[in-house]
Amino acid sequence: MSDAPQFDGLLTFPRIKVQNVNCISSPLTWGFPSMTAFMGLMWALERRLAGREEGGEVLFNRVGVVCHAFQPHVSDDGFSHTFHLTRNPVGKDGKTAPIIEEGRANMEISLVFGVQSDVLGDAVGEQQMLARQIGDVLFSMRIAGGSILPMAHKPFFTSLGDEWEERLSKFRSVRRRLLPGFTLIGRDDLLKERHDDLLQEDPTATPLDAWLDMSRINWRCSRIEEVNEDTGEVTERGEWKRDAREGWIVPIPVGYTALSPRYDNSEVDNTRDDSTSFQFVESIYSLGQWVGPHHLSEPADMLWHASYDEENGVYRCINKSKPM
Amino acid sequence: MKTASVLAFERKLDPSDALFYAGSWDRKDDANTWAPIAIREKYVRGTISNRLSKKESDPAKLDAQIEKPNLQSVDVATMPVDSDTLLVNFTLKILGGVGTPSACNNSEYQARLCEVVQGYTEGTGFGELARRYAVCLANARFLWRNRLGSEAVQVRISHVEDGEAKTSWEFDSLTFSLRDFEVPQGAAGGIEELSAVIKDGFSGGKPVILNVQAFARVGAGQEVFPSQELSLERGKGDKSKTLYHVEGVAGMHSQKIGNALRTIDDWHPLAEEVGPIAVEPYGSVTTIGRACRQPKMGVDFYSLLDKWVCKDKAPDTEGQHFVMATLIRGGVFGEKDS
Repeated sequence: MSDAPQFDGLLTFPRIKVQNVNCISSPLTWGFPSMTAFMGLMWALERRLAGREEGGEVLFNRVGVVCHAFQPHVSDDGFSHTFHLTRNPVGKDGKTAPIIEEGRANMEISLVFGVQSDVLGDAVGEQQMLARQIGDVLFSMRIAGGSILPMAHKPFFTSLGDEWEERLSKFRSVRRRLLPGFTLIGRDDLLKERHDDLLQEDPTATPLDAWLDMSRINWRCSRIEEVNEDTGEVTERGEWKRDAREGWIVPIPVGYTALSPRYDNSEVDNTRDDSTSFQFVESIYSLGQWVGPHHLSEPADMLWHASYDEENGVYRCINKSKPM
Repeated sequence: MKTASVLAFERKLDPSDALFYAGSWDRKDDANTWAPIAIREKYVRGTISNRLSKKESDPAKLDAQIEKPNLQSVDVATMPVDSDTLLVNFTLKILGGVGTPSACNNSEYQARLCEVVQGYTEGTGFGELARRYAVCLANARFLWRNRLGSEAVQVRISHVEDGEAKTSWEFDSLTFSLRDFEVPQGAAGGIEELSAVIKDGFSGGKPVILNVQAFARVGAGQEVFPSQELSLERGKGDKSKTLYHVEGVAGMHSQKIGNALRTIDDWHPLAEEVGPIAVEPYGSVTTIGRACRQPKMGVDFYSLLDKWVCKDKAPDTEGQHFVMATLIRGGVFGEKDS
């Protein structure tokens, strides 16, 4: 992608524990928070920092996330899961408030931001100081609706340098600190591939069919003929096989697509602020894959960036990487 | 002035989940080596003891129902037989920027709100609220049922900076009353220092982190009480009580800790009867099924806030404390278009 934002360095927050994050990531999926939440976090952090005097200028261009632990608050009876809910304070009449379903989880993640900043050329001491200040700002924010617990590990900058070889070796050292864990990468290619396969069987198959197909475990039956060597008798039997998948493939929401034209803020009631223009959207979906960071060779492999297509009203998170 | 139709605040007093550990009273100093308390499941053969439906009149059927055993599986957490002291550990984050909404769609209103909070900070100040929060930490109300029947309760609070405990305080919690905010002799100095730290946190700048350890001598082998999960759609025969744990360690929900820490409102009309209640817009108390700040009395959060911000009629000092405490609590306070 030529329009993908560049980055000269990485800012890593290792092993942040977050509690009560929202784990209903879209109308169709639940589990680990959506990439859009981390994209939003990145911009919110950048805006907060922009308002401060100290801290130098840091441009946040890309974000990646590594998950080390994930504990959704659910009851699991082996087949279906039920969210643990909260009983909210009684209303003004003293009656029980209605229960609104919310999904929550605790998680331990590492955040990696692809940044551009002058500080990358400065001494290590100054980088550490700035990283700590940014850490304090991040600490007072929410991640996917969850609160950050006190951080045990210090954030750090990594300057990637200009040479390709240097870039790879710097990334290798960062990568080591993200283990053990899994990072989410985009696998739009698998969705396309599966859709093409389905089209051969059924010309009316849609990408949604392909997406659903990849989100579940498919057992297929094939007919096997067996010849009895002694008698020459031919018997048939069915054999059940599971679709082979390479890796840990998950359905994920990756952004939003417009349902309406973009309105001026004054045209819509009850928006979140009184200046930003407004558009009705719905989620768009793709496939992602959880891979160990050690399977990735260069920093861009684990980082996501945003793209905006004004004409079609598509706002989405993009990651194009090929695991080794 | 009109209020904002979208108006929301993030909580400024943000506790973590509290985790349960077990050890012995004289070894409180090496509490970080204490063993976590796990949740286990047990199966009981109980009796039918619920009130029967009045409609059932056939005596034979009634007999049959109450003579049946009542089989249940429940979660339970207990102290080990060789440890007599429960440690409940959590951290508390205190954030600045009280009164800065996280979402607000009326900038004029937001500016006015900012003025109001500024006025409060400079005039009355967060001193009294900070003192009350400090007392709520020291009196160990956040232990809830675990506090009852404990022989002794000690709370140790340390102010953590850059990962290290900077200052620490110890409080003998049972000397504090849960009905008022009087500070017993001997604890006055500690409470004063702790309130100053909390007040600092509200004033902005760096977030303040407190690490809170509460030791309750509950007796070896005794049952302890973590949070119970609310799980709807439970089938017949499923586990009837599920307790909360964090990666296998029994725990109390952060919401429940937060509720105990903001039990500072004894300015409401029913204070004589009910005592201090948690700060809620309508002063609602779930356990007694009542709301102590009825809108018709004009002392609920919305009436006070609207008068203060839109009509510039500041409530009395106690009302101001309550409004600020509700902003610290956070929530969605927008007004529906009618």
